[in-house]
Amino acid sequence: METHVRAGAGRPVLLLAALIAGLALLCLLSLAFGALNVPFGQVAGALIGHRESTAVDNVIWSVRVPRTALGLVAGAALGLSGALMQALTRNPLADPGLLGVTAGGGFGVVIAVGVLGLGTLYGYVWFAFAGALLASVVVYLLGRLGRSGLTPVKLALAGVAVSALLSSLTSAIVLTDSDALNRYRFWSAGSLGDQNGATVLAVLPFIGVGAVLAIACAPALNSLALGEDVAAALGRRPGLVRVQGVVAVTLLTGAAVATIGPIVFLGLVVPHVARVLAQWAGLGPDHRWLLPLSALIAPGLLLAADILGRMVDRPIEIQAGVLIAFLGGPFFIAMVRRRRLAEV
Amino acid sequence: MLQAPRRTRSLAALASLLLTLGLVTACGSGKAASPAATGSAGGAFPVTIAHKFGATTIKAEPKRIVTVGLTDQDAVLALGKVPVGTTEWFGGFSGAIGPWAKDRLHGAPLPTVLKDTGTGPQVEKIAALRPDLILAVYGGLTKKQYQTLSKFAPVVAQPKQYNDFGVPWEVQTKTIGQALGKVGEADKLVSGVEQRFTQIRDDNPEFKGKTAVTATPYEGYFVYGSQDPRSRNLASLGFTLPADLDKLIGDKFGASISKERTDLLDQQVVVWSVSNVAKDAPKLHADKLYADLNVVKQGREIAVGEDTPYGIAYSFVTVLSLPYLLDRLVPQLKAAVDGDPATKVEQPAN
Repeated sequence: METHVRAGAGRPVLLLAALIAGLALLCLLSLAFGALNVPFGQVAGALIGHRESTAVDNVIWSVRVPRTALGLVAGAALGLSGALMQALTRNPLADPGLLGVTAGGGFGVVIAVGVLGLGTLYGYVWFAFAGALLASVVVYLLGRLGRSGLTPVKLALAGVAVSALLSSLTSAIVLTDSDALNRYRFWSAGSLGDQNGATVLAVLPFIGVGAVLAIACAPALNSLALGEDVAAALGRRPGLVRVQGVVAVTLLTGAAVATIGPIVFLGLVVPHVARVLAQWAGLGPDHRWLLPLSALIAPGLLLAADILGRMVDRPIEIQAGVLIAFLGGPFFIAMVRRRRLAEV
Repeated sequence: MLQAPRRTRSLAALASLLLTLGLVTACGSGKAASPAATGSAGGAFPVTIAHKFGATTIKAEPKRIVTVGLTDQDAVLALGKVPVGTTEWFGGFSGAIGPWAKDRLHGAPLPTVLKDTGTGPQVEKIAALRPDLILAVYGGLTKKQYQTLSKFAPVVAQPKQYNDFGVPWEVQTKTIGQALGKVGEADKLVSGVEQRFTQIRDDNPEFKGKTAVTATPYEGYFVYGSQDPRSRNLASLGFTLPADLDKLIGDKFGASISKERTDLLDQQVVVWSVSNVAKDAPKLHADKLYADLNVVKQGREIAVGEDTPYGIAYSFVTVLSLPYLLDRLVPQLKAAVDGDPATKVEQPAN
C-alpha cells in the first residue's frame, strides 16, 4: 500500500472510528456467541440485569463478560508492549516473545504457582513482573556484549537464547509434577476462557499503569527514532526513556502473561498493522499514533481468535493463543513478503 | 492426573481445525472375539489376535510379558502370570500393581516399572527386559510406536473397534486371555465380575435409568465419553449416560468442554475424579457455573481422589480392580442418588 496521496485530515478520524467500531462489534460478538446457544434477546436481557434463567445469567456474567473484558485489556497490553519494544530496540522483529520477556514472566508464574503453591493473581503476578524484568535486563546486557555494542541482531539472538533457557527451566519444574504440567499446558496455550471477573479487575491497575507509562513515552520515542545523538540534542534522555519503557513493557507483558498465558505473535504483528494503517491515514511513523492504534488493533485480533476458537469445535474450545499462532504466522509471512517492513 | 492417555489439546485442536469436516466416525459396537475355549495353554498356540494395526501371531506360551497398556498388568496377574515390566499410570504403587492385585504376585519379584510421560513407551527399557510378548490393550499406541515395539516381540495393540483407551475391561481380559493361551480362565474371571454387577443392579433398582456423568477438572472440565471405562462402569451399574454426551465429545474417550456447557454435568449423579479430594472439591465449588447446578445443591456429587488407591481403582476398571472399586463406590452412589440432600456422601474408610 505505497500511497503517496496527500491524505485528507479526515482519514485519521475515519481510521479511529473504524477501529473503535470494529472493536465494539467484536465485543458484541464475544458476548453473543459461545458453546451454549443463547438467543440474542436473552443475552441482551442478561446484560441489562433482566433476570433470565440462572444458567443464562451465569454464562453471560461469569464466562462471557470476564472473557471479553480480559480480551480487551490483555490484548491492549500485548499490542502496546509489542509497539513499545519495537520502538525502544528499533528492531522491526522485536516483541515480548522474541526478547525473552514473555518467557521470563512465564517462568515467574511457574515458580510462584508450581513451586510456592500461590493460587491468587495478587500472589503470583509479582513473580511474573520480576521474571519479565529480569529477563529483559539479562537480554539487554547480553545484547551489549562484544565490540559492536548493542545491535538488533545481537539483541534478538540474546532474546532467543534467554527464552530457550527459561523455557527449559520452566519445563524442568513443570515436568516433575503431572498436575502442574496439565495446568501449565492449558495456560501456556494462551486461553481467555479460564479466568473470572475478579481476576480481570485485579489485573486492571497493572495494565492501566503500564499503558499510561507506555503512551507517555511516545514523544520521546519519536526523537529516539532519529538516533541517540539527535534525541539527546532534542533534550531527551535516552537512558531514562529506556528505563520507563522497560518498566511499562514489564508491567504490560507480566500482567498479560499472568492472566492469559504467553500469547505469541500478537505483539509482533500488531505494530506492523498499525504502521500500515497509519501510513494510509497519512500519519507517518508517529508513536503518538502508533501506540494507541496498536492498543486498539491487538484486542480486536485477540477477541476474534477467541470467538473463532469457541465456534470451531463446539462445545470444545480451542485456545486463542493456538489460533493466533496458527493464523498469525502465515499472515506475518505474507506481510513481510508484500512490502519491506517499515523501518522502525 | 491422567497424563498418559492425553495428547495436548492444541494438537487435537489443530487437527480438528484442519478437518473442517468433522468426520466423526460412528463408534462400532464391536463384539469381542470369543474363540472356542481350549484347555491347557500349551495347546492354544500359535494364536493370532486382531487389533488396530493388523494381527499379531504369538507362537508359543509367553514367559516374559511387558505391559504397555496402562492397566493390562491386572489381567495378566489375574490369569496367573507376573509381568516382567509394567507401565506406571498414577504412580504410588510399587511395581505399578495396585492393592487389589498384590496377592496375585505369590512372592514373585516385582515387575520393572516403565513410564510414559507423553512421549510414548520407553522402547530401550522395554527391549532390555527381553520380552516375548508386549501387551498394549488399554492404550493408545500409534502405528509407528507399534512398529517399533514389534521389532522386539509380538505386540498386541488396542482393538480397532474402540477408541484409544476405550476398550471395555471384559474385552481386555479376554484378549489378554487369548494371548496367554488361557481363554477358558479369562471367560470364568469375566463372568465372575459380571455376576457381581448383576447382583448390584438387582440390589439397587434405584440406579436404573438415572442419568450419570463422570468428569475430571482438566483444561476446564474434562468429561468422559460413553466409551471410557469409567463411564461404561456407571452404565453397567444401571445408570444412563446423558443422551448428547458423545455428540458433544466426538470419537475420543473424553474431552474438555467449554465452561459454558457446564450444564452437561447437571445429571442425577456426577462422579469427579480429582487429584486430591480435600484440595480440589472446594475449587470446583468456587465456580459459580458449577455450584449453581442442582446436582451440587442437592448433594448428588461424588469425588474420588487420585491420591488414594480407591480413586485410582476408579480409573483402573480391570477384572481385579472392579471388585475392590465396587465395594467402595456403590455405597457412595447410593448416598448420592437417594434424593435426600441431607445424606452426605462419605469417603470410604480405606
